Amino acid sequence: MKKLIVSGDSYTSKTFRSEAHPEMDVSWDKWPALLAKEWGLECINLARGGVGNEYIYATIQDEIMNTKDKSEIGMVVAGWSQCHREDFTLGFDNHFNQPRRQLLNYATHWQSVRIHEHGDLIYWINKSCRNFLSLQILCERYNIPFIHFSMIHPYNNYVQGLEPTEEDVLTLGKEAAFDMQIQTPRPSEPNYTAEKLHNIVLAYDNQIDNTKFLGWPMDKDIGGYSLNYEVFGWTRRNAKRYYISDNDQHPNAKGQVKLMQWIKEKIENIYNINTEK
Amino acid sequence: MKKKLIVSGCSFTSNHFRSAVHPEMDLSWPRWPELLAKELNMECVNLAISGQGNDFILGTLQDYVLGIKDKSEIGLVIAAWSQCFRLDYQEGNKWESWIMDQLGGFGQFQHHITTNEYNEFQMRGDIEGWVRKSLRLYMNFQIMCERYDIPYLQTQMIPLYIDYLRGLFIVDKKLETWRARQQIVDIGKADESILEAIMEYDNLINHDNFLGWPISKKLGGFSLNLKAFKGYEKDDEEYMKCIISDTDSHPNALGNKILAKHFKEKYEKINS
Repeated sequence: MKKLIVSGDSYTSKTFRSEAHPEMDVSWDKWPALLAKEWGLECINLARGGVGNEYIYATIQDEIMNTKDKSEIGMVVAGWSQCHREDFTLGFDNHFNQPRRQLLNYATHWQSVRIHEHGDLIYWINKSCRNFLSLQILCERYNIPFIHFSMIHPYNNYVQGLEPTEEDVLTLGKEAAFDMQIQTPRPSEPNYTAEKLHNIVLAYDNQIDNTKFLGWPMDKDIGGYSLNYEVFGWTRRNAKRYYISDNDQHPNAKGQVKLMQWIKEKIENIYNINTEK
Repeated sequence: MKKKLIVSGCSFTSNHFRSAVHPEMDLSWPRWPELLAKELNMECVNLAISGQGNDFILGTLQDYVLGIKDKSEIGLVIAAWSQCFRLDYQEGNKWESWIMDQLGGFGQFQHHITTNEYNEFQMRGDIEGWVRKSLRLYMNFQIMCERYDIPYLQTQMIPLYIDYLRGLFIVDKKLETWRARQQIVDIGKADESILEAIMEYDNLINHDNFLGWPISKKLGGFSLNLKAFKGYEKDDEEYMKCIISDTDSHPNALGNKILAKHFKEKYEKINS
Protein backbone atom coordinates (compact mmCIF):
# COMPACT_ATOMS: atom_id res chain seq x y z
CA MET A 1 0.00 0.00 0.00
CA LYS A 2 1.44 3.40 -0.98
CA LYS A 3 1.76 6.22 1.52
CA LEU A 4 -0.12 9.49 1.75
CA ILE A 5 2.27 11.79 3.64
CA VAL A 6 0.64 14.87 5.14
CA SER A 7 1.84 17.58 7.48
CA GLY A 8 0.19 20.71 8.79
CA ASP A 9 -1.20 22.34 11.90
CA SER A 10 -4.31 21.90 14.03
CA TYR A 11 -6.62 21.86 10.99
CA THR A 12 -4.88 18.70 9.89
CA SER A 13 -3.71 17.10 13.11
CA LYS A 14 -5.18 13.78 14.12
CA THR A 15 -4.45 14.61 17.77
CA PHE A 16 -6.31 17.90 17.67
CA ARG A 17 -8.02 18.87 20.93
CA SER A 18 -10.28 21.89 21.24
CA GLU A 19 -8.85 24.47 23.61
CA ALA A 20 -12.20 26.19 23.83
CA HIS A 21 -14.00 22.95 24.61
CA PRO A 22 -11.48 20.68 26.32
CA GLU A 23 -14.19 18.25 27.33
CA MET A 24 -15.48 17.79 23.78
CA ASP A 25 -14.99 14.50 21.97
CA VAL A 26 -13.27 15.56 18.76
CA SER A 27 -12.19 12.10 17.69
CA TRP A 28 -13.87 12.32 14.30
CA ASP A 29 -11.72 11.38 11.32
CA LYS A 30 -9.58 14.19 10.01
CA TRP A 31 -9.25 14.91 6.30
CA PRO A 32 -5.92 13.09 5.77
CA ALA A 33 -7.36 9.82 7.13
CA LEU A 34 -10.54 10.29 5.11
CA LEU A 35 -8.55 10.99 1.96
CA ALA A 36 -6.25 8.00 2.47
CA LYS A 37 -9.31 5.81 2.89
CA GLU A 38 -10.83 7.09 -0.34
CA TRP A 39 -7.66 6.34 -2.25
CA GLY A 40 -6.66 3.15 -0.45
CA LEU A 41 -3.41 4.65 0.82
CA GLU A 42 -1.63 4.33 4.13
CA CYS A 43 -2.04 7.62 5.98
CA ILE A 44 1.09 9.16 7.49
CA ASN A 45 -0.25 12.24 9.23
CA LEU A 46 2.59 14.28 10.75
CA ALA A 47 0.50 17.35 11.56
CA ARG A 48 0.40 18.90 15.01
CA GLY A 49 -1.59 21.73 16.56
CA GLY A 50 0.18 25.09 16.89
CA VAL A 51 3.12 24.36 14.62
CA GLY A 52 4.63 26.60 11.99
CA ASN A 53 5.99 26.05 8.52
CA GLU A 54 9.48 24.93 9.47
CA TYR A 55 7.95 22.01 11.32
CA ILE A 56 5.72 21.18 8.38
CA TYR A 57 8.57 21.16 5.87
CA ALA A 58 11.03 19.37 8.17
CA THR A 59 8.68 16.55 9.10
CA ILE A 60 7.87 15.91 5.45
CA GLN A 61 11.54 16.00 4.46
CA ASP A 62 12.41 13.54 7.22
CA GLU A 63 9.59 11.19 6.27
CA ILE A 64 10.49 11.26 2.60
CA MET A 65 14.18 10.71 3.32
CA ASN A 66 13.30 7.86 5.66
CA THR A 67 11.47 6.16 2.80
CA LYS A 68 14.18 4.36 0.86
CA ASP A 69 12.03 3.42 -2.09
CA LYS A 70 10.39 6.71 -3.07
CA SER A 71 7.91 4.88 -5.31
CA GLU A 72 6.21 3.78 -2.07
CA ILE A 73 4.99 7.37 -1.71
CA GLY A 74 1.68 7.95 -3.46
CA MET A 75 1.15 11.60 -2.58
CA VAL A 76 2.56 14.35 -0.35
CA VAL A 77 0.31 17.13 0.93
CA ALA A 78 1.41 20.15 2.99
CA GLY A 79 -1.23 22.34 4.65
CA TRP A 80 0.88 25.39 5.52
CA SER A 81 0.27 27.40 8.65
CA GLN A 82 0.87 30.96 9.85
CA CYS A 83 4.31 32.31 9.00
CA HIS A 84 4.91 33.99 12.35
CA ARG A 85 5.01 30.73 14.28
CA GLU A 86 8.43 29.51 15.35
CA ASP A 87 9.38 25.85 15.60
CA PHE A 88 12.42 24.41 17.28
CA THR A 89 13.61 21.05 18.48
CA LEU A 90 15.01 19.51 21.60
CA GLY A 91 17.06 16.36 21.26
CA PHE A 92 18.48 15.72 24.70
CA ASP A 93 16.36 14.57 27.58
CA ASN A 94 14.23 12.68 25.13
CA HIS A 95 16.26 9.68 24.29
CA PHE A 96 19.40 9.31 26.35
CA ASN A 97 18.03 6.25 28.00
CA GLN A 98 15.95 5.01 25.13
CA PRO A 99 16.98 2.59 22.40
CA ARG A 100 18.07 4.33 19.22
CA ARG A 101 16.10 3.75 16.07
CA GLN A 102 17.83 4.34 12.79
CA LEU A 103 15.39 6.96 11.62
CA LEU A 104 15.92 10.63 11.09
CA ASN A 105 14.45 12.81 13.72
CA TYR A 106 13.49 9.73 15.71
CA ALA A 107 13.79 11.39 19.05
CA THR A 108 13.45 15.02 18.23
CA HIS A 109 10.96 16.77 20.37
CA TRP A 110 9.39 19.65 18.48
CA GLN A 111 8.10 22.72 20.23
CA SER A 112 6.38 25.74 18.73
CA VAL A 113 5.50 29.25 19.79
CA ARG A 114 3.05 31.66 18.21
CA ILE A 115 5.50 34.43 17.37
CA HIS A 116 9.13 34.23 16.30
CA GLU A 117 11.51 35.75 18.77
CA HIS A 118 13.63 37.38 16.07
CA GLY A 119 13.18 39.04 12.73
CA ASP A 120 10.09 40.69 11.37
CA LEU A 121 7.01 39.78 9.39
CA ILE A 122 8.79 40.29 6.08
CA TYR A 123 11.42 37.76 7.07
CA TRP A 124 8.85 35.27 8.30
CA ILE A 125 6.96 35.47 5.02
CA ASN A 126 10.22 34.99 3.12
CA LYS A 127 11.18 32.10 5.37
CA SER A 128 7.84 30.42 4.74
CA CYS A 129 8.12 30.95 0.98
CA ARG A 130 11.56 29.30 1.13
CA ASN A 131 9.88 26.34 2.85
CA PHE A 132 7.23 26.20 0.10
CA LEU A 133 9.97 26.14 -2.52
CA SER A 134 11.96 23.54 -0.63
CA LEU A 135 8.96 21.23 -0.59
CA GLN A 136 8.42 21.73 -4.30
CA ILE A 137 12.09 21.05 -5.06
CA LEU A 138 12.17 17.99 -2.81
CA CYS A 139 9.14 16.40 -4.46
CA GLU A 140 10.28 17.30 -7.97
CA ARG A 141 13.72 15.85 -7.21
CA TYR A 142 12.23 12.47 -6.35
CA ASN A 143 9.35 12.68 -8.78
CA ILE A 144 6.79 12.44 -6.01
CA PRO A 145 3.24 13.70 -6.63
CA PHE A 146 2.52 16.60 -4.29
CA ILE A 147 0.10 19.39 -3.52
CA HIS A 148 0.37 22.21 -1.04
CA PHE A 149 -1.74 25.11 0.12
CA SER A 150 -2.00 27.65 2.87
CA MET A 151 -4.55 26.08 5.18
CA ILE A 152 -5.02 29.35 7.06
CA HIS A 153 -3.93 32.84 6.03
CA PRO A 154 -0.16 33.21 6.47
CA TYR A 155 -0.11 36.65 8.11
CA ASN A 156 -3.51 38.39 8.30
CA ASN A 157 -4.11 37.60 11.95
CA TYR A 158 -0.69 38.95 12.83
CA VAL A 159 -1.23 42.20 10.95
CA GLN A 160 -4.71 42.67 12.37
CA GLY A 161 -3.43 41.96 15.87
CA LEU A 162 -3.24 38.46 17.26
CA GLU A 163 -6.00 37.61 19.66
CA PRO A 164 -5.44 35.42 22.70
CA THR A 165 -5.78 31.69 22.19
CA GLU A 166 -9.01 29.98 23.15
CA GLU A 167 -7.14 28.36 26.01
CA ASP A 168 -5.99 31.72 27.39
CA VAL A 169 -9.53 33.07 27.24
CA LEU A 170 -10.80 30.00 28.99
CA THR A 171 -8.23 29.97 31.75
CA LEU A 172 -7.65 33.70 32.30
CA GLY A 173 -10.97 35.17 31.33
CA LYS A 174 -11.48 37.25 28.22
CA GLU A 175 -10.36 40.60 29.62
CA ALA A 176 -7.18 39.34 31.25
CA ALA A 177 -6.32 37.25 28.21
CA PHE A 178 -6.57 40.27 25.94
CA ASP A 179 -4.54 42.35 28.41
CA MET A 180 -1.76 39.79 28.39
CA GLN A 181 -1.67 39.30 24.65
CA ILE A 182 1.50 40.49 22.93
CA GLN A 183 0.75 43.38 20.62
CA THR A 184 1.22 42.53 16.96
CA PRO A 185 2.73 43.88 14.86
CA ARG A 186 5.32 44.77 17.46
CA PRO A 187 5.73 48.52 18.00
CA SER A 188 9.26 48.30 16.58
CA GLU A 189 8.02 46.92 13.27
CA PRO A 190 7.33 49.14 10.28
CA ASN A 191 3.88 49.80 8.95
CA TYR A 192 2.96 46.84 6.78
CA THR A 193 0.78 47.93 3.91
CA ALA A 194 -1.15 45.22 2.10
CA GLU A 195 0.77 46.09 -1.06
CA LYS A 196 4.12 45.65 0.65
CA LEU A 197 3.19 42.22 1.95
CA HIS A 198 1.71 41.17 -1.39
CA ASN A 199 4.96 42.12 -3.06
CA ILE A 200 6.97 39.90 -0.72
CA VAL A 201 4.83 36.91 -1.71
CA LEU A 202 4.68 37.84 -5.39
CA ALA A 203 8.48 37.90 -5.56
CA TYR A 204 8.19 34.09 -5.55
CA ASP A 205 5.53 34.04 -8.23
CA ASN A 206 7.78 32.84 -11.02
CA GLN A 207 9.39 30.15 -8.85
CA ILE A 208 6.35 28.56 -7.25
CA ASP A 209 4.59 26.01 -9.44
CA ASN A 210 1.08 27.42 -9.04
CA THR A 211 -0.49 24.31 -10.55
CA LYS A 212 0.61 22.45 -7.41
CA PHE A 213 0.10 25.26 -4.89
CA LEU A 214 -3.65 25.55 -4.47
CA GLY A 215 -4.66 29.13 -3.82
CA TRP A 216 -1.33 30.70 -4.68
CA PRO A 217 -0.56 33.58 -3.97
CA MET A 218 -2.63 32.95 -0.85
CA ASP A 219 -4.33 36.34 -0.46
CA LYS A 220 -7.74 37.08 -1.94
CA ASP A 221 -6.75 40.61 -3.01
CA ILE A 222 -4.14 39.25 -5.39
CA GLY A 223 -6.14 36.33 -6.71
CA GLY A 224 -5.30 33.65 -4.18
CA TYR A 225 -6.86 32.12 -1.11
CA SER A 226 -6.23 30.24 2.08
CA LEU A 227 -8.04 26.96 2.10
CA ASN A 228 -10.23 27.42 5.17
CA TYR A 229 -11.93 30.44 3.61
CA GLU A 230 -12.16 28.99 0.14
CA VAL A 231 -13.63 25.69 1.29
CA PHE A 232 -15.89 26.83 4.11
CA GLY A 233 -16.95 30.15 2.63
CA TRP A 234 -15.80 33.70 3.07
CA THR A 235 -18.69 34.74 5.30
CA ARG A 236 -19.06 33.58 8.85
CA ARG A 237 -22.68 32.72 8.18
CA ASN A 238 -21.75 30.24 5.47
CA ALA A 239 -18.78 28.83 7.27
CA LYS A 240 -20.43 28.39 10.65
CA ARG A 241 -21.87 24.96 9.99
CA TYR A 242 -18.38 23.56 9.38
CA TYR A 243 -16.87 25.01 12.56
CA ILE A 244 -16.80 23.40 15.98
CA SER A 245 -18.44 26.46 17.55
CA ASP A 246 -18.39 30.23 17.63
CA ASN A 247 -15.46 30.00 20.02
CA ASP A 248 -13.55 27.42 18.05
CA GLN A 249 -13.37 27.75 14.30
CA HIS A 250 -11.54 24.51 13.67
CA PRO A 251 -13.41 22.17 11.36
CA ASN A 252 -15.96 19.85 12.92
CA ALA A 253 -16.68 16.37 11.52
CA LYS A 254 -18.68 17.83 8.65
CA GLY A 255 -15.91 20.36 8.00
CA GLN A 256 -13.27 17.63 7.81
CA VAL A 257 -15.34 15.72 5.25
CA LYS A 258 -15.83 18.92 3.27
CA LEU A 259 -12.08 19.62 3.34
CA MET A 260 -11.31 16.09 2.21
CA GLN A 261 -13.79 16.22 -0.67
CA TRP A 262 -12.48 19.56 -1.86
CA ILE A 263 -8.81 18.54 -1.68
CA LYS A 264 -9.57 15.17 -3.30
CA GLU A 265 -11.34 16.76 -6.22
CA LYS A 266 -8.50 19.23 -6.81
CA ILE A 267 -5.80 16.59 -6.66
CA GLU A 268 -7.71 14.21 -8.92
CA ASN A 269 -8.08 16.98 -11.49
CA ILE A 270 -4.42 17.95 -11.31
CA TYR A 271 -3.10 14.41 -11.54
CA ASN A 272 -5.86 13.00 -13.75
CA ILE A 273 -6.79 10.43 -11.16
CA ASN A 274 -10.01 8.62 -11.94
CA THR A 275 -11.56 7.07 -8.85
CA GLU A 276 -15.06 6.58 -10.17
CA LYS A 277 -16.35 3.21 -9.13
CA MET B 1 30.24 34.19 -20.77
CA LYS B 2 31.90 32.68 -17.72
CA LYS B 3 29.85 30.33 -15.58
CA LYS B 4 29.17 31.32 -12.02
CA LEU B 5 30.85 29.92 -8.92
CA ILE B 6 28.30 30.63 -6.17
CA VAL B 7 29.54 30.36 -2.59
CA SER B 8 28.07 31.06 0.83
CA GLY B 9 29.52 30.68 4.29
CA CYS B 10 30.75 32.50 7.38
CA SER B 11 33.87 34.56 8.16
CA PHE B 12 36.16 31.83 6.79
CA THR B 13 34.65 32.53 3.37
CA SER B 14 33.55 36.18 3.51
CA ASN B 15 35.16 38.86 1.38
CA HIS B 16 34.44 41.36 4.11
CA PHE B 17 35.96 39.58 7.07
CA ARG B 18 37.75 41.84 9.53
CA SER B 19 39.77 40.50 12.45
CA ALA B 20 38.25 41.34 15.83
CA VAL B 21 41.57 40.63 17.48
CA HIS B 22 43.63 42.69 15.03
CA PRO B 23 41.29 45.41 13.79
CA GLU B 24 44.18 47.34 12.29
CA MET B 25 45.45 44.44 10.19
CA ASP B 26 45.34 44.62 6.40
CA LEU B 27 43.37 41.57 5.32
CA SER B 28 43.05 42.41 1.67
CA TRP B 29 44.39 39.11 0.41
CA PRO B 30 42.12 37.22 -1.97
CA ARG B 31 39.77 34.77 -0.32
CA TRP B 32 39.48 31.14 -1.38
CA PRO B 33 36.27 31.58 -3.47
CA GLU B 34 37.99 34.20 -5.59
CA LEU B 35 41.13 32.06 -5.98
CA LEU B 36 39.05 29.03 -6.88
CA ALA B 37 36.96 30.97 -9.40
CA LYS B 38 40.16 32.09 -11.09
CA GLU B 39 41.47 28.53 -11.25
CA LEU B 40 38.18 27.24 -12.67
CA ASN B 41 37.73 30.23 -14.98
CA MET B 42 34.40 31.13 -13.40
CA GLU B 43 32.78 34.32 -12.20
CA CYS B 44 32.86 34.47 -8.39
CA VAL B 45 29.62 35.18 -6.52
CA ASN B 46 30.51 35.24 -2.83
CA LEU B 47 27.45 35.55 -0.58
CA ALA B 48 29.26 34.80 2.70
CA ILE B 49 29.06 37.11 5.70
CA SER B 50 30.98 36.89 8.97
CA GLY B 51 29.17 35.52 11.99
CA GLN B 52 26.40 33.84 10.05
CA GLY B 53 24.93 30.43 10.63
CA ASN B 54 23.62 27.68 8.44
CA ASP B 55 20.12 29.05 7.87
CA PHE B 56 21.74 32.08 6.28
CA ILE B 57 23.99 29.90 4.15
CA LEU B 58 21.16 27.81 2.73
CA GLY B 59 18.82 30.80 2.48
CA THR B 60 21.25 32.88 0.42
CA LEU B 61 22.21 29.97 -1.84
CA GLN B 62 18.59 29.00 -2.43
CA ASP B 63 17.56 32.58 -3.18
CA TYR B 64 20.46 33.07 -5.57
CA VAL B 65 20.21 29.74 -7.39
CA LEU B 66 16.44 29.92 -7.83
CA GLY B 67 16.77 33.50 -9.02
CA ILE B 68 18.81 32.35 -12.00
CA LYS B 69 16.43 31.31 -14.71
CA ASP B 70 18.92 29.45 -16.86
CA LYS B 71 20.61 27.07 -14.42
CA SER B 72 23.24 26.18 -17.01
CA GLU B 73 24.83 29.54 -16.19
CA ILE B 74 25.91 28.01 -12.88
CA GLY B 75 29.28 26.26 -12.95
CA LEU B 76 29.50 25.24 -9.30
CA VAL B 77 27.76 25.97 -5.99
CA ILE B 78 29.57 25.57 -2.68
CA ALA B 79 28.08 25.62 0.83
CA ALA B 80 30.82 26.16 3.44
CA TRP B 81 28.79 25.38 6.56
CA SER B 82 29.23 27.17 9.85
CA GLN B 83 28.47 26.39 13.51
CA CYS B 84 25.01 24.99 14.16
CA PHE B 85 24.25 27.11 17.21
CA ARG B 86 24.24 30.43 15.38
CA LEU B 87 20.85 31.96 14.81
CA ASP B 88 20.12 33.89 11.60
CA TYR B 89 17.16 36.02 10.76
CA GLN B 90 16.24 38.99 8.61
CA GLU B 91 14.87 42.40 9.40
CA GLY B 92 13.68 44.45 6.48
CA ASN B 93 15.11 41.93 4.04
CA LYS B 94 18.58 42.30 5.51
CA TRP B 95 20.25 39.29 7.11
CA GLU B 96 21.10 39.67 10.74
CA SER B 97 22.58 37.33 13.26
CA TRP B 98 23.08 37.27 16.97
CA ILE B 99 26.54 38.58 16.55
CA MET B 100 25.52 41.63 14.57
CA ASP B 101 22.23 42.41 16.16
CA GLN B 102 22.76 41.96 19.83
CA LEU B 103 26.33 42.77 20.62
CA GLY B 104 27.67 44.38 17.52
CA GLY B 105 31.03 42.73 17.73
CA PHE B 106 32.77 39.79 16.21
CA GLY B 107 33.13 36.67 18.24
CA GLN B 108 30.75 37.74 20.94
CA PHE B 109 27.63 35.97 19.74
CA GLN B 110 28.55 33.06 21.94
CA HIS B 111 27.83 35.20 24.94
CA HIS B 112 24.16 34.83 24.22
CA ILE B 113 23.95 31.17 24.52
CA THR B 114 26.14 30.48 27.44
CA THR B 115 25.18 32.97 30.09
CA ASN B 116 22.05 33.24 32.08
CA GLU B 117 21.08 36.75 31.14
CA TYR B 118 19.18 35.40 28.16
CA ASN B 119 16.60 32.85 28.95
CA GLU B 120 15.68 29.66 27.15
CA PHE B 121 13.20 31.36 24.91
CA GLN B 122 15.75 33.69 23.42
CA MET B 123 17.73 30.85 22.00
CA ARG B 124 15.22 28.14 21.61
CA GLY B 125 16.05 24.48 21.35
CA ASP B 126 19.20 22.62 22.30
CA ILE B 127 22.47 21.56 20.76
CA GLU B 128 21.23 18.25 19.40
CA GLY B 129 18.20 19.99 17.90
CA TRP B 130 20.49 22.53 16.19
CA VAL B 131 22.77 19.78 14.89
CA ARG B 132 19.77 17.97 13.43
CA LYS B 133 18.58 21.20 11.85
CA SER B 134 21.96 21.66 10.17
CA LEU B 135 21.94 18.07 8.93
CA ARG B 136 18.55 18.76 7.38
CA LEU B 137 20.00 21.89 5.74
CA TYR B 138 22.83 19.79 4.23
CA MET B 139 20.16 17.54 2.70
CA ASN B 140 18.12 20.49 1.56
CA PHE B 141 21.13 21.92 -0.28
CA GLN B 142 22.01 18.58 -1.87
CA ILE B 143 18.42 18.01 -3.01
CA MET B 144 18.22 21.47 -4.59
CA CYS B 145 21.44 20.98 -6.56
CA GLU B 146 20.44 17.49 -7.65
CA ARG B 147 16.99 18.70 -8.68
CA TYR B 148 18.48 21.26 -11.07
CA ASP B 149 21.48 19.15 -12.00
CA ILE B 150 23.88 21.81 -10.74
CA PRO B 151 27.47 20.85 -9.88
CA TYR B 152 27.94 21.32 -6.14
CA LEU B 153 30.23 20.79 -3.20
CA GLN B 154 29.61 21.17 0.48
CA THR B 155 31.89 21.11 3.47
CA GLN B 156 31.78 21.77 7.19
CA MET B 157 34.19 24.69 7.12
CA ILE B 158 34.59 24.90 10.91
CA PRO B 159 33.49 22.33 13.54
CA LEU B 160 29.70 22.14 13.64
CA TYR B 161 29.09 21.81 17.38
CA ILE B 162 32.13 20.76 19.41
CA ASP B 163 33.10 24.27 20.52
CA TYR B 164 29.68 24.60 22.08
CA LEU B 165 30.09 21.43 24.09
CA ARG B 166 33.54 22.40 25.24
CA GLY B 167 32.39 25.83 26.35
CA LEU B 168 32.73 28.84 24.13
CA PHE B 169 35.18 31.66 24.34
CA ILE B 170 33.94 35.24 24.56
CA VAL B 171 36.38 36.20 21.84
CA ASP B 172 39.11 34.23 20.19
CA LYS B 173 41.48 32.75 22.71
CA LYS B 174 40.36 34.87 25.64
CA LEU B 175 40.84 32.80 28.70
CA GLU B 176 37.39 33.13 30.19
CA THR B 177 35.09 30.33 29.14
CA TRP B 178 31.67 29.22 30.06
CA ARG B 179 30.35 25.77 30.42
CA ALA B 180 27.99 24.51 27.80
CA ARG B 181 24.31 24.73 28.52
CA GLN B 182 23.26 23.57 31.92
CA GLN B 183 21.23 20.62 30.73
CA ILE B 184 24.24 18.97 29.17
CA VAL B 185 25.67 17.35 32.21
CA ASP B 186 27.63 14.70 30.42
CA ILE B 187 29.51 16.19 27.50
CA GLY B 188 30.92 12.84 26.41
CA LYS B 189 27.47 11.35 26.23
CA ALA B 190 26.12 14.37 24.40
CA ASP B 191 28.92 14.12 21.85
CA GLU B 192 28.23 10.43 21.38
CA SER B 193 24.57 11.11 20.80
CA ILE B 194 25.31 13.83 18.24
CA LEU B 195 27.76 11.57 16.41
CA GLU B 196 25.01 8.98 16.11
CA ALA B 197 22.64 11.64 14.75
CA ILE B 198 25.22 12.55 12.11
CA MET B 199 25.54 8.93 11.08
CA GLU B 200 21.78 8.72 10.50
CA TYR B 201 22.50 10.80 7.40
CA ASP B 202 25.38 8.65 6.24
CA ASN B 203 23.39 6.82 3.58
CA LEU B 204 21.62 10.01 2.45
CA ILE B 205 24.49 12.44 2.03
CA ASN B 206 26.33 12.18 -1.26
CA HIS B 207 29.83 11.50 0.05
CA ASP B 208 31.48 12.35 -3.27
CA ASN B 209 30.28 15.94 -3.06
CA PHE B 210 30.79 16.49 0.66
CA LEU B 211 34.35 17.39 1.47
CA GLY B 212 35.07 15.89 4.89
CA TRP B 213 31.92 13.86 5.43
CA PRO B 214 31.04 12.67 8.08
CA ILE B 215 32.39 15.98 9.48
CA SER B 216 33.90 14.66 12.70
CA LYS B 217 37.38 13.20 13.10
CA LYS B 218 35.90 10.60 15.43
CA LEU B 219 33.79 9.32 12.54
CA GLY B 220 36.57 9.48 9.95
CA GLY B 221 35.60 12.86 8.58
CA PHE B 222 36.77 16.39 9.22
CA SER B 223 35.93 20.06 9.31
CA LEU B 224 37.84 21.66 6.50
CA ASN B 225 39.76 24.32 8.40
CA LEU B 226 41.34 21.79 10.74
CA LYS B 227 42.06 19.22 8.05
CA ALA B 228 43.41 21.68 5.50
CA PHE B 229 45.62 23.48 7.99
CA LYS B 230 46.64 20.28 9.78
CA GLY B 231 45.13 21.82 12.86
CA TYR B 232 44.21 18.71 14.72
CA GLU B 233 47.43 18.94 16.68
CA LYS B 234 47.69 21.89 19.03
CA ASP B 235 50.65 24.17 18.36
CA ASP B 236 51.21 22.46 15.08
CA GLU B 237 53.72 24.50 13.10
CA GLU B 238 51.92 23.96 9.82
CA TYR B 239 48.63 25.11 11.31
CA MET B 240 50.17 28.34 12.59
CA LYS B 241 51.44 29.17 9.11
CA CYS B 242 47.87 29.12 7.74
CA ILE B 243 46.07 31.27 10.27
CA ILE B 244 46.14 34.99 11.01
CA SER B 245 47.78 34.70 14.43
CA ASP B 246 47.75 32.61 17.56
CA THR B 247 44.79 34.68 18.74
CA ASP B 248 42.82 34.65 15.48
CA SER B 249 42.38 31.31 13.77
CA HIS B 250 40.87 32.66 10.54
CA PRO B 251 42.81 31.80 7.40
CA ASN B 252 45.55 34.15 6.25
CA ALA B 253 46.67 34.51 2.64
CA LEU B 254 48.33 31.08 2.65
CA GLY B 255 45.34 29.54 4.42
CA ASN B 256 43.00 30.83 1.74
CA LYS B 257 45.25 29.37 -0.97
CA ILE B 258 45.23 26.00 0.76
CA LEU B 259 41.43 26.05 1.12
CA ALA B 260 41.07 26.87 -2.59
CA LYS B 261 43.41 23.98 -3.42
CA HIS B 262 41.30 21.50 -1.42
CA PHE B 263 38.11 22.57 -3.19
CA LYS B 264 39.81 22.42 -6.59
CA GLU B 265 41.08 18.90 -5.95
CA LYS B 266 37.65 17.73 -4.84
CA TYR B 267 35.99 19.39 -7.82
CA GLU B 268 38.44 17.76 -10.22
CA LYS B 269 37.98 14.41 -8.54
CA ILE B 270 34.20 14.40 -8.98
CA ASN B 271 34.54 15.60 -12.56
CA SER B 272 37.25 13.18 -13.63
